[in-house]
Amino acid sequence: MRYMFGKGAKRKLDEDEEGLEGKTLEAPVAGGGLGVTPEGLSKVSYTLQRQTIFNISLMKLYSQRPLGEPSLERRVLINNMLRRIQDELKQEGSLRPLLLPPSPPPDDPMDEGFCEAPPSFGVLSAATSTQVSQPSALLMPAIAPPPSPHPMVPPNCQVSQACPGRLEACLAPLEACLTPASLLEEDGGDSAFCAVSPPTPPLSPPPVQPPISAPLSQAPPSVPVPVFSSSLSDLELGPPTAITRTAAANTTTMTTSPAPTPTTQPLPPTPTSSPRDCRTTGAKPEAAAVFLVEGRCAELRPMDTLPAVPPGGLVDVSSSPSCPPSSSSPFLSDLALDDVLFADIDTSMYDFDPCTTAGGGTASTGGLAKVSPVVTPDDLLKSLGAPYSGPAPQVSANQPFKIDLTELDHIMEVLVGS
Amino acid sequence: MLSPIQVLCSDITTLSLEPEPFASYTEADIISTVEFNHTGELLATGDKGGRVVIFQREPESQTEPFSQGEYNVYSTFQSHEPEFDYLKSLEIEEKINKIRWLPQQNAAHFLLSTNDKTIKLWKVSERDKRPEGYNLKDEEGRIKDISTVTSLQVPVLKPMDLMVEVTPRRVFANAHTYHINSISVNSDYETYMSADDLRINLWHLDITDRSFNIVDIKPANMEDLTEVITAAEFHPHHCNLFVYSSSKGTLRLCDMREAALCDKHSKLFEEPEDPSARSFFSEIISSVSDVKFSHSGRYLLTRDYLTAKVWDLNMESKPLETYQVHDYLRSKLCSLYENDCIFDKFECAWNGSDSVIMTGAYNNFFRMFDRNTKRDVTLEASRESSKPRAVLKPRRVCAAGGKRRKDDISVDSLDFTKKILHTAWHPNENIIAIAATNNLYIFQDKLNSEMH
Repeated sequence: MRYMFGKGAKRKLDEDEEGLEGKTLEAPVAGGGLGVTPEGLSKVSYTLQRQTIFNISLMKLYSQRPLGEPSLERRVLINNMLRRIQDELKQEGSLRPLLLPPSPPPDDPMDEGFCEAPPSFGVLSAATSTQVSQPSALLMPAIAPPPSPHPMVPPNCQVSQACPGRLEACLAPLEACLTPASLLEEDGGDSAFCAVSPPTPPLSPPPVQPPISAPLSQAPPSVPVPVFSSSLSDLELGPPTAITRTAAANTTTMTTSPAPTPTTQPLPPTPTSSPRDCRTTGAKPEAAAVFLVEGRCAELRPMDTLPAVPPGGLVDVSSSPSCPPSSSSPFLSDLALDDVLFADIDTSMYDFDPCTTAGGGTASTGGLAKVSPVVTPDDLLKSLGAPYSGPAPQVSANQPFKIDLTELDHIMEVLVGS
Repeated sequence: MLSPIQVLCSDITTLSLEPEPFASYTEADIISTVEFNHTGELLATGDKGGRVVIFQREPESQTEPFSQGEYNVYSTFQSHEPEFDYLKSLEIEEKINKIRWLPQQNAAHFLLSTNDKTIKLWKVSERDKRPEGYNLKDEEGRIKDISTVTSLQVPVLKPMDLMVEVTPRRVFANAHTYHINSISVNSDYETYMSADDLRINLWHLDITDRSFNIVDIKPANMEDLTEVITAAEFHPHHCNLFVYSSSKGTLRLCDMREAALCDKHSKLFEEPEDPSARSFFSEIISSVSDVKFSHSGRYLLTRDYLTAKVWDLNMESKPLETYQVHDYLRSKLCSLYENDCIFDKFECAWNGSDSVIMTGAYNNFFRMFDRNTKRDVTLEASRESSKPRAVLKPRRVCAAGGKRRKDDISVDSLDFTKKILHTAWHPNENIIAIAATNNLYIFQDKLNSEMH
């Protein structure tokens, strides 16, 4: 509840922005905000309502009954609803409404489908921009590279649903620990890519070595390092310039982690970092960011000692081939939803619901794979557009997507298995 | 034909009820479709258990004037069975989505029934005589030992108890990837169409292995999908015309003479959105759940979540008439979204003269609107209020804050689990069939029955 108030307060304060909205927003927003109901909703209650509807919609999409094909009409309508809200948010250029968890939606938390839902979104958000924008919103920096707003919600609300008590417990540290993350992410999504470029020129040598120590610092010593690094270097040795966002993000996770390792505080000097980065790094000091992710992963498999990166990140890469970077959808979260919603309805509805898939962590990561990669093409484009993202040739670079899946699986096995 | 006002004055009596009173029912017993045949003599219902029950109207009796109009069970058969799609690892429900009668052309009746994927053509025929005295086989049909045949006889037809035989004649399968929501028999009596979420197929009634795709709105990329087909129907007189409705609230009239693939509509019926009434749920509540041509073929009746609309085929810009079915729910849309009620698909029906329309609502209420007088009435299909021969009392829902009269029911006490989604109106008399969960109610205009 207190978050709701928090949000309300925040929204209220943004007077100038509101004015902006009035001008820039499409009619729907204005109409929705002012004329929705006879009572005339205030802006605050409007955003609250929007948030609630948004959450409900997500719950609906992810709590499908396992057997029997769900109604397409229903899914399309719900998806349109989400798109509409996203568009609104996009136009408002503000992510805040979605950042603060509303009171848990009244959906039955016991619902099986529901329980499974958080993980999928957890990774989705982790893979996208949760960490990036969350801190920025909380700390109110002047960053305005809004990545998809929607992925933000799920983690919050779902965590709050899945483990309300725990959320309370970890929320303070979360904010605290996110500070560095936000610093890291100074440039938001854009920087994420330039982060990659530094490692890229030097190529494999530097990156390959550090990762060994990095994961090791957290993972049990039994991690078969060689495999890990070799496969990694394989990744990098491919067409170096052609590293796509996913691959890049992935590698940065590995490569940059050593940097923070010595300093317990991730520092601006290395503004490298994809979202994953801060997770890895954050894990060391307070582990809050990780907390978010792990909190969800814990539901999948009993508390891995590893950061949750591997599943998310790797799956990212492995599944990215299926995702053409040219995806024209303007909004990346759209893609995410669409992917879950509509991808292969004709043939592959079977893995629509993580619950139905073969159980265990792998199954759900499989499900996640559908979600996370979606972000990448758009991110890629974005990062390519970034002024200092150097290697423009990367645009055409699709090759790394062809990374051997089995290899990635293997990496995952190694990481998870340990 | 009686004036509809009498109907609206609730001079409606209950004709017959389902046998067991308040027997506990299972999901499979829930009625999922109701349809009169073209004469009104037969009424078919389908349920979620894949069964079809056919009711027949009892012939008029001189001694018991009230017996006229009673509908009794005529035949029951299992139309669809649950299946499993092994390719998709999905169950295919046996639920009967729609039943459509073919115009009667001989002594037998034919009907089409469909679940999500497969359409079946059934023949319903009577037999009250059986042949006896075959030379080469006995009464059970077993071949006789030739040596025992010592004389020849002429077989004769002997009367026997009436037997209703239902036999499957055709199975139209494997043509739909998505869920079939409508089937409609063409006025040429030879073809019919079946519509699913994204496509409409045209079939010949005699050919099961081939159908023609006449509408396909599936985008190349499913990510671009924002609209689905919700219902479709042939024009009652022009075999080349059909209409389909969408989840965005539009109606498209297509002419099959223009092209084999009717992706381009001839007419698009769409009401501009009222900006003042815009809300998050605008699109969802504008999704058309049912579309029906009037008997004359001049008008279209559509139902969306909150309203019923009558469209003139000659005016695409807006509906001719808009009737509020339960406007008091407008303030409750968020809750209705949350509990999924907002996705309920209410059907609608014309009376025989196209002057009255009927559609369902929650709390076992259903609504009728007189197009001429603009009067409307809310009636309830429940055991308490509709004892056989009882006259239905109009009900009234008072919106929150409104003045509440005796017997009014407040919005907050409506039972949203009791919904009347499926209704049917006798093709030319004031007899209506209302499916309320597992119960079928048949009501009749009181004066109508007395006049006979």
